[in-house]
Amino acid sequence: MDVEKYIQNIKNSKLNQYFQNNLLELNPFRNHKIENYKYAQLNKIDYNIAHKNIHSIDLNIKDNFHDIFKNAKTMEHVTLDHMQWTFNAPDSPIRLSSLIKDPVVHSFDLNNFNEEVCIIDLSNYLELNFIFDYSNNEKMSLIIIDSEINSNKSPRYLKFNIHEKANIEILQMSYNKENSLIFYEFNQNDSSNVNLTALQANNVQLRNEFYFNLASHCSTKISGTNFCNLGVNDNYSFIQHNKPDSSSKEVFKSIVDHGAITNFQGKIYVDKIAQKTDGYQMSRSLLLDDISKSNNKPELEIYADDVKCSHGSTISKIDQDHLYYFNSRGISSDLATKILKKAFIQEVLDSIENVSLKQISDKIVSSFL
Amino acid sequence: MLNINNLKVSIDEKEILKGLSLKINKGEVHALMGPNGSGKSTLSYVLSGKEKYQVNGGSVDFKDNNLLDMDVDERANNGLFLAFQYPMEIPGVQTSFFLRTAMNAKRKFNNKPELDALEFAKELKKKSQELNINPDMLKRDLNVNYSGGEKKKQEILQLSMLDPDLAILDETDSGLDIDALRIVSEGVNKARNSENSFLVITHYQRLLNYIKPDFVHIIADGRIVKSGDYSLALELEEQGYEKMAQA
Repeated sequence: MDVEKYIQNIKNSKLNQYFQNNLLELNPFRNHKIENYKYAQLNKIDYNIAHKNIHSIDLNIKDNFHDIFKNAKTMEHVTLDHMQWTFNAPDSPIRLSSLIKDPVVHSFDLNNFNEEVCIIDLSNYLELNFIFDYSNNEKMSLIIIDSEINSNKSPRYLKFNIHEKANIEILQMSYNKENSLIFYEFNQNDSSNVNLTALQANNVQLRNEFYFNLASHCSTKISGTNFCNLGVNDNYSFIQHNKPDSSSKEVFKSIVDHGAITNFQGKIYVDKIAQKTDGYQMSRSLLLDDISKSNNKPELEIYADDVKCSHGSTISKIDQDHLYYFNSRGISSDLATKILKKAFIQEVLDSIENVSLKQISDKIVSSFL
Repeated sequence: MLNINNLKVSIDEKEILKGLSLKINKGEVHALMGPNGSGKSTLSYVLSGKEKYQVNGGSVDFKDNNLLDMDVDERANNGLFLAFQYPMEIPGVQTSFFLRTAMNAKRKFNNKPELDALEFAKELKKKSQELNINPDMLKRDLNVNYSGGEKKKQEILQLSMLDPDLAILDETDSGLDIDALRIVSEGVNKARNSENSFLVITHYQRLLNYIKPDFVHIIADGRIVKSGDYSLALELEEQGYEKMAQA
């Protein structure tokens, strides 16, 4: 079957029509008929107020690094290979639709870059689809920035092929966004390591979906945090253990105030042959007022019988006893709250290994907290 | 320094302090002893300004100002310090960072410039050595996974760094082994001078062997029932609270 015909077939399929009409055109954020979007409702947000309040903070991050992707190879058409979906999540057709809508893929071979840190600013690209390949076992660090106000509102799709024994660290930053929907797909081959840190701040409407596909002896670490948002900040993760002996660790921390809503929904899936899987997931939210909301939903789906999987979820306020302790040492409640907010997300910042990435993260955090 | 006059305090509508009066002058060390539930900790919390304690009557003057009108941080910056019986664990906040923030808050309050990093480090090193505190402890999160003794030492370290005018020690001796008790007491004694005052709250006379008080008060059922000098503590140790409170 050739690609054109394949695409045409999918485009004409009834299922695709349904998703095109109900999810893409009508905005998936407003559709709660699908379980994975259940909490991503935006009806209660006053957008006019939220949009007015969004403030642009120029962090000059891009000036510190060369945009090494200027000469990247662009493929005009997707191949059948790119149309293969390894996830059976109920909304995978959305991702497929986004790819079909704009069947141009930017393909990057990360092995060609020698810099310590590579940076990609999504706002520089009109295209919606990206594929990254990395096969080096020397660790590389990559920053992905999703930040411009009013830039492309269509869903984007980023796929990472992490080859055998490859080792990569990624810092994903979303800030100053009015509207963003991004799908991340990681295909990890045997013995590969991925350490992903997500920082999200000052956004109105944001949804990130992280799909991980693990072979054997892989290690995956996801640490995410979001704060100072105005509308709905929504993170969905799906970690699929397909083969034995892999580990995944996910920690997500949200600080919610000013009537914003934060959602976290994470699934660990363990195939029946994926014995000795070690999965861990923790989501915590800190609510700073009575009008903000947080929905945390951990999910485990396990078919193997010799695995270690755990999950936890908490939603709390600032501990008044902590505040009292600060006050009793002369530290004002304002400053104490600021310190306690930073302390709350410190675990996420500590998961970053590269020094430059750490510095950038500190810059983001101190700009907003 | 501190003048408590006929103080009445309740929590959740239950009256704990029923007209307590106590006067502490500059340079004095007072010990407050009493059985469980007599109102010792309540007094320390009310003085520091903890929420939920309802003051129903009486007055507290601290350095000629109305203490009860001040916020918790205002009281601290004015020179009041409470060493907690159960210091709070704060994950994510480094102990040395917390200390520096507290010191700078006080300096800012007194219109002094912030302490520079080197000066602070020097001071911290000196004071923590005096208390036999492992420098690694200062890099750890505040009180998180500290032993009981480490937590108390850390409180006394804060005390000596912040150099308050009036320090209240709320059962600082509880949970300390003999060596730690001695080290902590020595730390307190080093901080003593003719300009500051201490209120030492304890169940046991042993702490007072190390920190010699000028006055000893016995509190029972929300009032001070007997006051005297150090010999009162020895008498108490012999006869027990029940008998002394009745006398």
